[in-house]
Amino acid sequence: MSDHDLLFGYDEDRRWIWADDGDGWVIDLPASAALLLDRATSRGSTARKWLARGVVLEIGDGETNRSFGRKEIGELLIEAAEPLVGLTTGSSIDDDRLPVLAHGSALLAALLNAIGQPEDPDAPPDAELSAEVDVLARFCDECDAAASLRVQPRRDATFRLRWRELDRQIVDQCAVTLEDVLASGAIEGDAVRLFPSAHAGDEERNDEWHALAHDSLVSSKLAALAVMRELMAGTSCNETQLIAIVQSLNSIRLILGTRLDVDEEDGPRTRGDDESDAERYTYLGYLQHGIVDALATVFPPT
Amino acid sequence: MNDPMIVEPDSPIGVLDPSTRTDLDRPWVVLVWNDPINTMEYVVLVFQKLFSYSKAKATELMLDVHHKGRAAVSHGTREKAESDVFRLHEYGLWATMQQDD
Repeated sequence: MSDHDLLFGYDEDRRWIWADDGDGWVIDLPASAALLLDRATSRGSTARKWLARGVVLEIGDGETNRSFGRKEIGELLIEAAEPLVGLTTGSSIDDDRLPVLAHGSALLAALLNAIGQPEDPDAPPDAELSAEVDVLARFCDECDAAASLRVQPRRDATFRLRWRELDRQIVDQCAVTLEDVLASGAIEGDAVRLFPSAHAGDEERNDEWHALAHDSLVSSKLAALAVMRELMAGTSCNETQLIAIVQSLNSIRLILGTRLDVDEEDGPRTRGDDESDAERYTYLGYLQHGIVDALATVFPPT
Repeated sequence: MNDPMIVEPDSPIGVLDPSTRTDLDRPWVVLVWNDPINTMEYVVLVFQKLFSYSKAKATELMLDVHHKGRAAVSHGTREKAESDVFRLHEYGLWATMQQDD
């Protein structure tokens, strides 16, 4: 159980924003998070009264620090809170509102965080404000993720796909690479991680294993590849199909990573002519991350 | 002629002395080995999907793979181990099988 569970009664794996059946989104906040978000919004909306205690902010990177007066902070707080007012669990929102909500919650979080810092550096920060800042930051992350990720889970356990043209181009190129390696029949070289040994240190048993399993494994990987190719033009898929996509992306990464001699410390090593392989390897890793993140929502955390 | 000698059995009928167990009796264990390409989050996902482990258990096993170089992810008959190894290879994880010590 994470600290979030213990402190605020919500866990890190549970989504707060889901894709709906159309092009929009549904907000589904846990009760404790909704309460904190509402309190933070009220704090921003009633900034004038709350700022009666008098606060001067300094926001900047050390070189361009700028002090904000009480009136200015009040205006900023109200501006930040405005998009969040009336936001309730079950609210439907469209694409255009996601960046507005992300900006508003990020700004409000930054302001409340700065305001909540005690004058005495040894004193603990305001716990109530810290909880609100935390929930605002998390909400901002969810809005950003919903707006930017290629794969978004729906509550009916299907997934909305929003591939970019560049995704399709790179996956198309890499799919050919995977297909060529599978068609070659090789189990060494670029293919060594696609067809690993099954009996460590026992060559005879490994030969038996490859003789028995190789063709089935090739068929399985080709079937997954076909699903990925089809769905790069699609807008929706189920869990089984999404797993086929992530398996294929991973197969391609195994080929590229082997070519690039990837290791734990240094990642891909480029040697001039394989620079594009390194870029593809990194790009596919980014796509894979988004898919794994989406798939994680269908598995219970405990 | 002496009476036939009566010998008390060393162990109850039907219970084998462990030292007499054959190779066939020993269960198989499936090991997943560390590699630098599969991401940690992907490995956790695979363990959850294939073995229905909780996220905590899957993460614990993934960390064993990462830090110790390998982890035992399933046990059972040879047929089950072969099936598990094949499915792990479908996901691109380096899995091997061996009889338990």
